[in-house]
Amino acid sequence: MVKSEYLRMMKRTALLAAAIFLLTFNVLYCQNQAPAFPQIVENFVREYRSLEIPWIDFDYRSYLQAIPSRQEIERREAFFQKYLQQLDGLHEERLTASEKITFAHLRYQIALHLERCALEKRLKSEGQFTIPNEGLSQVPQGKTLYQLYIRYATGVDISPDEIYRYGLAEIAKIHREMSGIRTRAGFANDSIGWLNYLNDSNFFLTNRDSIVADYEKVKNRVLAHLGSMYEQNPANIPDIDFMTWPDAGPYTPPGIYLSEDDNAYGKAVFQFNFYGNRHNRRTMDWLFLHEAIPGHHFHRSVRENVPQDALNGLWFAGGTVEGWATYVEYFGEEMGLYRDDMAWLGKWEWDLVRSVRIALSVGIHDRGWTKAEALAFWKANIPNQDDIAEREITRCINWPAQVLTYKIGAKKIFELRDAAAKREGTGFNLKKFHTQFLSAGYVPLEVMEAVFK
Amino acid sequence: MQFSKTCFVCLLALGVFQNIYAQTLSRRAFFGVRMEAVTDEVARVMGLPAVKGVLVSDVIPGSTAEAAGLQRGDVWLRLNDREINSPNEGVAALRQLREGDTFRYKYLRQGQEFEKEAALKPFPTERYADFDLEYGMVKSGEAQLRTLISRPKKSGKLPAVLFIQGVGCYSIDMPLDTTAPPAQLMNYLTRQGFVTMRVDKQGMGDSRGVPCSELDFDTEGNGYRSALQHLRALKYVDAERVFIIGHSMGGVFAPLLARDIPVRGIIAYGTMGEKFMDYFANSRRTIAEANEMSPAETEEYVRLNCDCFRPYFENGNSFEEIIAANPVCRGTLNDLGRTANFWKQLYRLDIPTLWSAYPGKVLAAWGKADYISVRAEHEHIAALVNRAHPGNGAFLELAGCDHGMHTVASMQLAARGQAGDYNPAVSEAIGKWLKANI
Repeated sequence: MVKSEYLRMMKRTALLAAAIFLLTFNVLYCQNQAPAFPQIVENFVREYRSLEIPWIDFDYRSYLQAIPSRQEIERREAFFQKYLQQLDGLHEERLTASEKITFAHLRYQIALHLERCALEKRLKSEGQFTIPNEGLSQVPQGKTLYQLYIRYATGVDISPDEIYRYGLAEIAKIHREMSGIRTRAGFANDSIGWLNYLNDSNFFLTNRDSIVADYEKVKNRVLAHLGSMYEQNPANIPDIDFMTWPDAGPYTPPGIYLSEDDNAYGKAVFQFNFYGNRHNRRTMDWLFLHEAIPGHHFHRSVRENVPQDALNGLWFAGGTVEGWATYVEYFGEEMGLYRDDMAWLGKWEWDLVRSVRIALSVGIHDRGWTKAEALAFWKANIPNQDDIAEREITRCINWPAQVLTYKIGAKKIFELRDAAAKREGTGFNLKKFHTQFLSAGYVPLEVMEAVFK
Repeated sequence: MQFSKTCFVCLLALGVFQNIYAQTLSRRAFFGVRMEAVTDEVARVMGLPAVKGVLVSDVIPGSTAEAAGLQRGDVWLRLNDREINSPNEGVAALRQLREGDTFRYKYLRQGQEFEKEAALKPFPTERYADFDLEYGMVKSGEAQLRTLISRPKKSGKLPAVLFIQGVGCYSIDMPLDTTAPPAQLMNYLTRQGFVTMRVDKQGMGDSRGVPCSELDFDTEGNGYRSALQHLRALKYVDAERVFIIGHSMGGVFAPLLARDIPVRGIIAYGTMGEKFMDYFANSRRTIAEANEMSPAETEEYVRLNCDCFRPYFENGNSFEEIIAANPVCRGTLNDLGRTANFWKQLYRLDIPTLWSAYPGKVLAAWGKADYISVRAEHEHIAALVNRAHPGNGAFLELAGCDHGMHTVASMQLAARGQAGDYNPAVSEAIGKWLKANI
């Protein structure tokens, strides 16, 4: 071998060795430098905030009006794809228990947003179209958009058909419950007498101060019973006060919860409807459970006391929040309430409205019901509440899935509970289940599966 | 003699001072709180010692209130010697104050009363990097009106636009929200090379005079007349190329002003092209349509509104008089925010004749989601102009725009308060027309 040949060979060998070294180094280096999960989450949150992607508007017409340009949709899509790839590159099994929940939440939201991007691109391809006022069934891609709305609003993967079947089953169940109460009250064969009885002035409280005093009593009773259902010490719950809902009108809902951050009074308040200087006594128990304790106020106070992850506050989990508040309405007896049939009746009266609303939602947005058909369905299923039919149907039309959050949310929580009870058998502890649920914060209900794994 | 000379100099100085003073208008105060009434329930929930004062429900960053240390949850009790017991009283007390004024204020925080003194900050101003915006003043009778004049960074005499706003008592000088249509439209046109002018009504913004709610139609029109003359006289404005953009009621003032003062063209957006009572009936019909009333409900709604309001518009009858004669009007009559005299003067105006008499170019623009004004009246304006001056009138329908020039898909959505931000299509359409008619 001549020297020049030897030198050339050595050079080739050296280059090859260098290449192998660089390749190996690169692989090792990249593996070592792949961002850790907390870093991925931190980067995601920072970038997501900077993109200013609005949450899907409750009102579908406002949402459709505001769909951004194709370029912007693609920019968002690339962002979500990038983070999806980063999550795919992780070994989920190596994450801590709390990281696994964050991981599941982030994956869920990314998948949801990517679905939205894909749908928005398809809508862009439809060209200009007039946005109808009659609901999603008249919109191009309307069925897919409705399913997306369901997921955004409830956080539950459920089909319109299943929602509809559930709505009908609930309506039938509530009718049976109400019929039993009517029979026990002695009005089995007297509809007019029953109606007069329900509208009797005895049910309507007219003294504002005594209503507040009554709610205070309800609060104390619930606090005394809370330990049977939850692990939290009632002494740790911030106080909540009661007042009338200012400017309430004939169609204002029965009550509303305002957290300390939502008012300037320095404490949380529960405002009740006192329109016409009267408040329906039948609504008091379930309304307190829903709006105050163990509903919204309690949910919030537990969440405030548990450290939340970096995703906290980025998205709205309507199904979790309203689902929980609806779920706890079923525990009135355990909470020392529902001490007579009329308190139960109040719960069923409003639960019937909610159940009819979910069937209406599917009817209007998935099955193309007209407003007249929706009204006929309402009248066939809800006796004596025609006065709010127009408002409720309009709400169902304008906000395709918001009305589902209560019942579908509660349904999912019952399913989570039943699955946990089945899995854990005799070791199942309801108080622990509730504590775990509330401590997880406002994450979509599908993600709650990861909490109870 | 020496004494007399000194006095003369003093008087001269005073004259100069008065002249300078007359040319300036101090800025309104930027107090910066949102308020909520202290009811007996609020007092109970908050544990207040008495039902008095007004609750500070929010403090705006950068405001006087923030600098003065007021916080959300404070109960504001007094301003100078005036007790404040409702949000309206708070607003009325603040309206008296201007930038730089010092004021004493008393408030309650966590059971303790505090009394302090602070100086009022001026209301912020709009500022732009690519053009100048001057805060000036025109006099109209005894009133002083705030003007906002934008000027492109260009030399020579430039075309100009006067913007005349709608009937409501609101200010066009809202620097905290420059997404509002008047600012958006004027800024766009400035960037297209136009000098633009906005002017506040008496009692609104910094303007001084009677409260807007007491201002009649003719007096308000005189204010716009002064503004138009001022604009035409500016050394950097080409007086032969001055246009008016009249929004809603501003579209009625526009041809009225153009009767006395030469104007090259008028753009009327969301306005009226018939006599007021006819417009009122047409408008109510459109409102009924937007609110999805049935044909029978619509007819009843229009009939009732016309029957009940006509004596008020025509003769200035009080609501009590009208209700006494026709009790069904009780549920229909409502305060329209201006004096009876305002409506009476408007009622007598022959609006179609004004348009026929105007010799310049006219664009009558209507947003397809505008449920306040009526498409046919805008087509009528264009037809009237063309009949008298062939080729001068044009009608333009703008899809996706409501009465306030906001983006919204339909009248029904607009009626439900679902409108979005300002629709830039309005700027583009108006800019295009102006360029073609310059």
